[in-house]
Amino acid sequence: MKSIFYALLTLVMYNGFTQKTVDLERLIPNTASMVVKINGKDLTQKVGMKNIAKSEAFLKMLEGEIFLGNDKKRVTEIGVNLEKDVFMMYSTSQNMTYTAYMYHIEKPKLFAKYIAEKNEFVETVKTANYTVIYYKGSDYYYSNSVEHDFLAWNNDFAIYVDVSYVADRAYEQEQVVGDSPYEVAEEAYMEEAPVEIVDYDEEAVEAVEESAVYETPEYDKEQEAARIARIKRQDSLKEAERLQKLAFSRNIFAQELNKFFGDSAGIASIIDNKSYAESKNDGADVSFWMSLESRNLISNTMYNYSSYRRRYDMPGMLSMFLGAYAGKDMNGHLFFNDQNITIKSNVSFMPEIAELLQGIYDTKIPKSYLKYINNEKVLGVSSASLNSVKLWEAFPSIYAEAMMLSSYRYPNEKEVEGVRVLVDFVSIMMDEEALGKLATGNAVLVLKDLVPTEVEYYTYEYNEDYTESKRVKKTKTEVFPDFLLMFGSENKAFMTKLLDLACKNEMMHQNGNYYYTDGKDRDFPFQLYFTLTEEMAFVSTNLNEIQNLSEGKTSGNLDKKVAANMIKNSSYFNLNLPELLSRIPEEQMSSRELKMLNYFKDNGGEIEWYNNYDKDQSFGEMSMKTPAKFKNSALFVWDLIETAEQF
Amino acid sequence: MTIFKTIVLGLLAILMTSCFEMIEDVTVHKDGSGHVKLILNASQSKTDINALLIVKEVNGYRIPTIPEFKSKLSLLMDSIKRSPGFSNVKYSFDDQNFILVFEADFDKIERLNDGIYQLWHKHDPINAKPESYYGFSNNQFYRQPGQLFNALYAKMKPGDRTVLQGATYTMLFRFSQNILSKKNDATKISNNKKVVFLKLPLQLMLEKPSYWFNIIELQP
Repeated sequence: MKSIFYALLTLVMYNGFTQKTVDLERLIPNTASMVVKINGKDLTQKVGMKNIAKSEAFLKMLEGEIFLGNDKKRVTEIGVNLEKDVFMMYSTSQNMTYTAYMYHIEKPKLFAKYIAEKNEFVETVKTANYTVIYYKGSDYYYSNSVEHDFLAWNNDFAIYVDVSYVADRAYEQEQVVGDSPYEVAEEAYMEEAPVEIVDYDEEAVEAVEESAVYETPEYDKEQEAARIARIKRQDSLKEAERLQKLAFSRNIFAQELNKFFGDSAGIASIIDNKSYAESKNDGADVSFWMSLESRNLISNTMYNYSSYRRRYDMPGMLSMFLGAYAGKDMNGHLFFNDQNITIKSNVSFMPEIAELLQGIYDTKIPKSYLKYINNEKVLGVSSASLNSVKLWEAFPSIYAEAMMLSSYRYPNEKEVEGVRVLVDFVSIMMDEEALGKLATGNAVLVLKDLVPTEVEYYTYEYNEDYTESKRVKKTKTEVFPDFLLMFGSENKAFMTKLLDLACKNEMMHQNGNYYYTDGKDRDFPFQLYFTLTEEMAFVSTNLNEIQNLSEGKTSGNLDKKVAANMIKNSSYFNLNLPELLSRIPEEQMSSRELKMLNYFKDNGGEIEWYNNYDKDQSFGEMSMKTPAKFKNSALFVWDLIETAEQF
Repeated sequence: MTIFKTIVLGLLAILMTSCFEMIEDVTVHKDGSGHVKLILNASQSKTDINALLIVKEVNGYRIPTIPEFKSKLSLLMDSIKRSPGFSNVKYSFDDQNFILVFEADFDKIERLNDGIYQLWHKHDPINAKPESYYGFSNNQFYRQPGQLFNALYAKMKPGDRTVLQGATYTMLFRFSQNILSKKNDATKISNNKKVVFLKLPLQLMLEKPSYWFNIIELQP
């Protein structure tokens, strides 16, 4: 599915001409829990028609993912209007769950011809309002499956639907709604007279099968005939069941397609959804919206099924994680600007969680932290600030909420009551103030270098006749991060007790004002150094640095822009990507990996991310500078796709 | 059952890293008796393994601790020692470099078939079946792939299979008699005509089981 989306993302970067205007967005049902919009007009302008038309990578993606294998066509011959918006959605209706991709058609005849030429395992059905082809998987002739993806279109637009769930339960109960436009005929052999099943000795038949090279006695032939007849009858029954399911599922598919191609009156559209409407940003090149309240849209039966989906597919897993730990909906926008690529995200929270989060995220990193960071030794920096006392106060409630939401089914009253009691008990027992002093909630991680380190290993080698083998010691280079971690801690006495306990158990050692691990313990296989002040705790991979910090010596001169972003945002991340990549050893890379590495060294830029919380929403923004040789960042991404294809 | 599960998971932790080598070194005497030495060497990935031991889980598999692994390994070796036809059973596990070495003498090579079946059956009683991986008679030795590795490989998730990309498999068959011929073109015969040798990427051997196959004719 990701690759299809990827292909569609690039699909719209082709310039075409429009005929009619059908508002595809309005056709998206309000049952959609995820919508992605790709701004075709802006993207095609940014990349340019010539670039798209001559792109080998783009054509290959179209062939492989959208049209499944026609290798003789050109981009200009697919009949799709690439200048218009493309939509992807994930939706759950009464009887099915599916992912769909909608795009405009520029030349209907060309499009239909292209589809007809390329597809071998399809069945085409024409209705009054649209044409649909049902794709049959490669296992079609070997299993009892029915198709689960199809492409439907009229003169204006096409929709490709990948069905992940059809209501089998409804099928069993024959809860078909509406009249089916299809009648699927049974195969001729189904009309044959039923074959009489003869009792036989299974062991005897198996024995005959095992000794198939010998002449089969007369009485065994009869038993074998009976066995074959039984298998044939079972196959007939299976085929009949498959055809019945096929008719049933196609009826459901038709009901859904009618919402797009037929009369959509009375069907709520996604643009009437307040959350979706508010999230829209017409200036974005790609927009993403997801409702995290999908539980409210589906029935109890479907929810049980969704527990499986939530574990094993992308929208499901994302929904589970965010539904449990975040909020009610989220959206994001991608901008291919001239100077940079920017992604802006927004997560909104349920009122009770929002109130707790407001208290937690009301802090910023103190300026005093900056004096510990030497800019000359910074590859990347990450900071986060929160009010840990508030966090511990809210923790039982948030944890309980997450626990109940992440359950595979709705918790019953008794379970809810049990969780409430547990929350009250933990709240009484927990000393939030003490925990808040132990770790205040302010933390900064500074990545300073990737240090090449020789690592020994063994291999077995043989003499010329392989009569003798010996274990040979060799070395290889691995890189280890050189970093400094600092976090606020206002209970030095307790932290000292913890470190002393580690020393007592020989996990750590002490030397003056600092503690260290020798790297020999399996639980701490790296040499790390620790020291404490009255307000801070430091962990570093560098002995000199930790000695200086333990003596109160600092040499802070962090870049002003980075420093300002650290202290004004709840969370901040900055990475000098080209510099980081230049520290990665190349000796064990394949030629392809090396080419990719060099590409990013030449074209990668500074990456920045920050996140803040305000009212009931969390705002995030990530950006990367456009390489100087590209007019805009869309061209950079396009070039990256082309280059990766060549490697 | 727990023993085998722990050992399989322990080995999985080792195999879940990118670079390791497996060595199968079998010596066959004229009477069919011989010696087997198996080596699993993951020292090249010890940094990764140490990291896995800290996080205790990878790709959804729980990683047993070193003491757990050693304890279960010891029980398994005791079981092999009690198996008929095996003698001088020895093993060592270097937990700093993650090198496991197993050695044993056997009275006839078919004992290896029995041993593999017993291990497979304890791990997977439903799918395990006795197979003939090794055979020796009339101065002819054969090695067949069987279904075991195929079964294990088929059960691996596609993502897990990528960890085999840097792994190698070495096969050595040593004989007291001179070698006249061998069927597997990928193998080499030593200059002294006593050893057949093969070293290939493990993933290639799993994807093309014919690489495991060989018939070696020996001088009477």
